[in-house]
Amino acid sequence: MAQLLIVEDDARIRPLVVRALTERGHAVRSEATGMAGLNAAVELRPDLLVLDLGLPDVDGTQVLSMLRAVSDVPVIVATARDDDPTLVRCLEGGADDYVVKPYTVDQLAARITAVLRRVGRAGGAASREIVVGRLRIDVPARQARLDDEQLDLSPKEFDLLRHLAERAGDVVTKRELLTEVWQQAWGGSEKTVDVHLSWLRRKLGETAADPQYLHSVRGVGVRLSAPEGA
Amino acid sequence: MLTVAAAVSMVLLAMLVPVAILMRDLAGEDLLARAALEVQATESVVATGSKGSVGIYLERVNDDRGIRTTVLYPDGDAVGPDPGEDRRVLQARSTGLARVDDVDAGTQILVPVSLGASTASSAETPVVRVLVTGPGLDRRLLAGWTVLLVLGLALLAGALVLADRLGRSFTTPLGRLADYAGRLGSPDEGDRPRLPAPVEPDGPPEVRELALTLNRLVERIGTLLERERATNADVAHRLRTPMTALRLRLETAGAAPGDEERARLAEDLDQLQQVVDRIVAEARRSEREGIVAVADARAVVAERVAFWSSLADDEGRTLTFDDRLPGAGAVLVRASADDLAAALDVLLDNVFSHTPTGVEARVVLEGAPDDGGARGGVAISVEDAGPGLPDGVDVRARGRSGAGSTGLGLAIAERTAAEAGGELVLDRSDLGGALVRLRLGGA
Repeated sequence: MAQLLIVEDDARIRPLVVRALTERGHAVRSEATGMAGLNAAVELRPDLLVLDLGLPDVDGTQVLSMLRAVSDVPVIVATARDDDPTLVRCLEGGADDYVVKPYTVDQLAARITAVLRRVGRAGGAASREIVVGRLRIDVPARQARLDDEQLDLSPKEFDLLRHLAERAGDVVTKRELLTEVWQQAWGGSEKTVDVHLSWLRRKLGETAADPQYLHSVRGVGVRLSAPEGA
Repeated sequence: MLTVAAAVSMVLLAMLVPVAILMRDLAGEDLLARAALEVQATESVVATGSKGSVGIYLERVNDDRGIRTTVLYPDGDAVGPDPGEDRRVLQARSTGLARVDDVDAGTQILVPVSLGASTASSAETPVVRVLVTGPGLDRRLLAGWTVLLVLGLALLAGALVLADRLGRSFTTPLGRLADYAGRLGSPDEGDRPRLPAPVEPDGPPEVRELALTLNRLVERIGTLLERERATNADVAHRLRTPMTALRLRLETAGAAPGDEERARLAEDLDQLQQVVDRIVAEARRSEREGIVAVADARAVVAERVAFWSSLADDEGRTLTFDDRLPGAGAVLVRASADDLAAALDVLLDNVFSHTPTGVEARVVLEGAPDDGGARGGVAISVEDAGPGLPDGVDVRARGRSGAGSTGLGLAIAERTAAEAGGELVLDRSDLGGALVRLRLGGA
């Protein structure tokens, strides 16, 4: 249960998101414009803000930078373009995470939970890290470290590692990874996941035969968990 | 250069040949005019002086080449280099009329000089013979013609040098322009094709104009690309926002419409989303490609093979890249690096998905046999030692549900090949399994 603020201009999406998140036990307020959203964020002091980038009055990135000047409320940006350069600017400019349209309520709710958990664990908005054993993942900076050693990951490898880390301990199916990481709910090949997992394994310095963090569960999927004793 | 030489030669011929003829005629007339003067001068000496003084005078005068003067006295004496009287001399003496005749040695002028004042008896009339000889005329003409020839050759050489300078003043800046135009789509400037800085106008006015036009064109293309980028962002937003609404509505609709109905709707929505994604991706094509779609096939293939080799190692496969093209430089093909990489990923993915682990695979890069359309093209073959392609694979069948469908995702690769001026061919590999060959046109 958290106080959420949705800033979304589309009149069809807004009530649906509000309703869906309310059903999941959150207290949700919504605004249709950037300026109204800014005011509400300052007045209501929500636990988290979901910010659409394509707003009619003020550009989402500007709303974000104005908001960051006065508040460190966690922000998830929503965008229609997954390769938009503004997305990168947003993450660099203080957004904690993003969802790409069309998203599902499950996706959005999962992101919200993950961000809140990250923030809550460190006791404030300062934390942006997911920690699994000696693996530390800085989500907004899109960087991962193992034993304080920075990992050189491709964007997809990072997204993959992050998704697995957010669900650390759970077995995640490749189909789910295709949906969540590749945004290919309908198609795509599991071999695509395999080849990225293979690289991730290499970069984590482990092999399929001798797993440390990445464990393949035959016929089901893959699980990220801290090695025993770590 | 050859045309300039030919043109100048023709002009020179047209001018010099008449000049040479004119020179010859003029030289002849000039000689005759001087001969006439000679006659007058000699006439006065003969009329007033003795044979001795005439002899001294003639010796002095006859130094001049081409004109020889002789005085033939009526008593048979002759002073000068050409003695001897013939019928013409006698006739001139008897009639008292001067005459001009062509003789073997050249032109002969005979002028009778009447010494007997009014009587004009032939016994008192010496005849002055002036012989204008050919050789003198020829030598002068030869000198003149030599000067003309040298002049002509000098003109020709000068014209060639000028033409070369003029040509260079065009070709050098034109070459720079061509170089600039070639760089417009080159893939060597980072991951995204960028428009190069405007070219500096240089050279003759026409070439400057061309450079300015090219700059304006590039600027215009840049504007259009930017506008398209903005439009695409808008299209993506417009299409995906209602899709989001649909998806959310479906999710929040509860169990009311019945689970079966809902599942069917979700499936429709998935397909719709697939279409939208394809449209958005297609709309962004020029964003990926810039002005000219071009990629280094060798680099892209090597990179994708290296990428998949990690999984090949895990699965105990040997995946090799067999580069059969000569040299080690870039091999440019008419496709964007992103599209080519995506096509290769589909083909490699198929190998991993549809052959048992441990099965060998190979990617071959070779020159494509040129059959017209693909100039300097290459062929990239992805082969394996697996069970081979299933019967009746239709390349063009759009993979409706991704991997496992009969399309095998080949439609993507096929389109990349077709847009690069090539094609996709299915065959059997000598490894024993399937062979998919992408033929791509060279850039």
